[in-house]
Amino acid sequence: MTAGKRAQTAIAAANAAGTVTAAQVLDGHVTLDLECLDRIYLNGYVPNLQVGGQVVTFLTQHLGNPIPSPALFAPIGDRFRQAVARFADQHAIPVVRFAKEQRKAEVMRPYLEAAAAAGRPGVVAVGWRRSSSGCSPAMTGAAQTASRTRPGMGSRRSSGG
Amino acid sequence: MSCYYFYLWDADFGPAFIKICSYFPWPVKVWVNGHEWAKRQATKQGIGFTELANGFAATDDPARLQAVCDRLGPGTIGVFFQRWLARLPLPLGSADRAAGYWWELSMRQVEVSRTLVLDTPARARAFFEALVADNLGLGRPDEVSLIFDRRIRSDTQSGFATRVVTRGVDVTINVFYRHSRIKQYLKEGRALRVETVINSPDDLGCQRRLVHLDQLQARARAANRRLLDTERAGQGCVLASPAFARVAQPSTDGEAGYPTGALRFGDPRVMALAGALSLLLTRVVGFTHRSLRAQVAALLGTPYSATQMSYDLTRLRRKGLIRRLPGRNTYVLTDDGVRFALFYTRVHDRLLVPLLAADRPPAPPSLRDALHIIDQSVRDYIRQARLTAA
Repeated sequence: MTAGKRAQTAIAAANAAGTVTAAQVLDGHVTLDLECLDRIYLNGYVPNLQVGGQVVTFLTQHLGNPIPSPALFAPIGDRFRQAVARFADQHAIPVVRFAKEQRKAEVMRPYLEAAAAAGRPGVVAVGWRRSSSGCSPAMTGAAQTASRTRPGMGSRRSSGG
Repeated sequence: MSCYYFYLWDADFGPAFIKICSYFPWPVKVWVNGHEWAKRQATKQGIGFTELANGFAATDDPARLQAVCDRLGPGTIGVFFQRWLARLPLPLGSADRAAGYWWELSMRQVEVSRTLVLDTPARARAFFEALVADNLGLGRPDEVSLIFDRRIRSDTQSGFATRVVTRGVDVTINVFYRHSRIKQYLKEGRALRVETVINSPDDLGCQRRLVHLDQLQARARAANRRLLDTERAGQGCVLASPAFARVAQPSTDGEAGYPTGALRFGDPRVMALAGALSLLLTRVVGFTHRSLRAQVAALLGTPYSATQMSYDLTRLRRKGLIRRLPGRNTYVLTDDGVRFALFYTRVHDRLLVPLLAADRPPAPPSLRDALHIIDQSVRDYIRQARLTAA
């Protein structure tokens, strides 16, 4: 018997035994019954940068580096940080540094409320924080694997943060 | 290493953020809210609604609003994501994208909710707290198996537990299954919210990529429905008590909306009135002012004037407990009136009076002994606390 059928059987047995369910009590007392997605939190990932071989291909064939060193990620991170600073500057977007243990939603609430009142879509604020870890989470995985693919690469880590 | 949180105000989704990390492999996080999206779509389509926190309290077209909520899927979220990637600074550029190095989305945490707005907010809190008390065993493996529709085996890695969290006066009940949980709470004191929180789509037999959101949502919605079918409702879970409140408290019932006095439980005149009505229950022909007044006066044992009878008939009629037969001076009890007469008299005569005289015969000796022990214990406690009797 499948789990679904077991569930139906159990519910039917409970009903037959005279047990009242919450659904039965609520019947007739509900003015609106709505099913909807609420919080949606997603991970964005680059699918072909997930294993060591893909990282080596990215660094060598795509970026044209002779040696697939993790140090090559540092300039990309630097350029990104500079681009964020320029972006905030050009569009007059407030940049807020999050303190440790600070509730980000509370910090950003005034900016979002102001945007809601104005009704104008856009970036309302940029928050940033420095990662507490001295090591990129990614470096424990794919990139470290990449560094191991060439003998003598050592254990240099990206300083891209 | 830095992470940047781009807080957005989106035309379709309202508040949202996209977090981009500056370190390889440049992980991204995206947060949006389905209810906020649905509100904006409803507004665009001209569907009237009243907000309830981040949800809905009422709408003039529930079917269309549900259809709007059903439309939110991976395509809409994917378009939102790519639209903002085109506007934000990124570690990867167009050349990387052309070579196939670009972000895709997978589900990190998804909450699928069902909101039931109740017609009796005054009773909602008592109902929900009684429901929680009656269902503390929901976290047991067999109940979890029913709710999540998953087979629980001896090697299933899950902490089976029911957790009741109280913040202020708000109670939330949580039932856990592996990395996910289903929670139930009262939203703003007027709506019952059931929410399946999926922290790992694998818990419901789904894959992580965003394209599987529809399948995940369908399974989580089914879990929400099964929770309400699985929860047992005990005697405390009564939502229909406005009838009692209407009878026992002053009200403005009646066709003209006149203020009507309360029929308070325990008031000798009201108890005599209920007793007389219960005696008359078998008289299918009904009763008149004269016949009922005689019964009430006999039960009350004190003078009971015709004016008092007229006033009481008016109270009974305006509260919907009796109705007058057209063209006659005869009244009959309504269904609510039958319940009023029976429960007022039975609770008073069979429960309250015997229990309040439980310290003397004919109360059972065991009950009298128990009361004596309680009385003695309280006296001892007062003596030890050195409090003299007032």
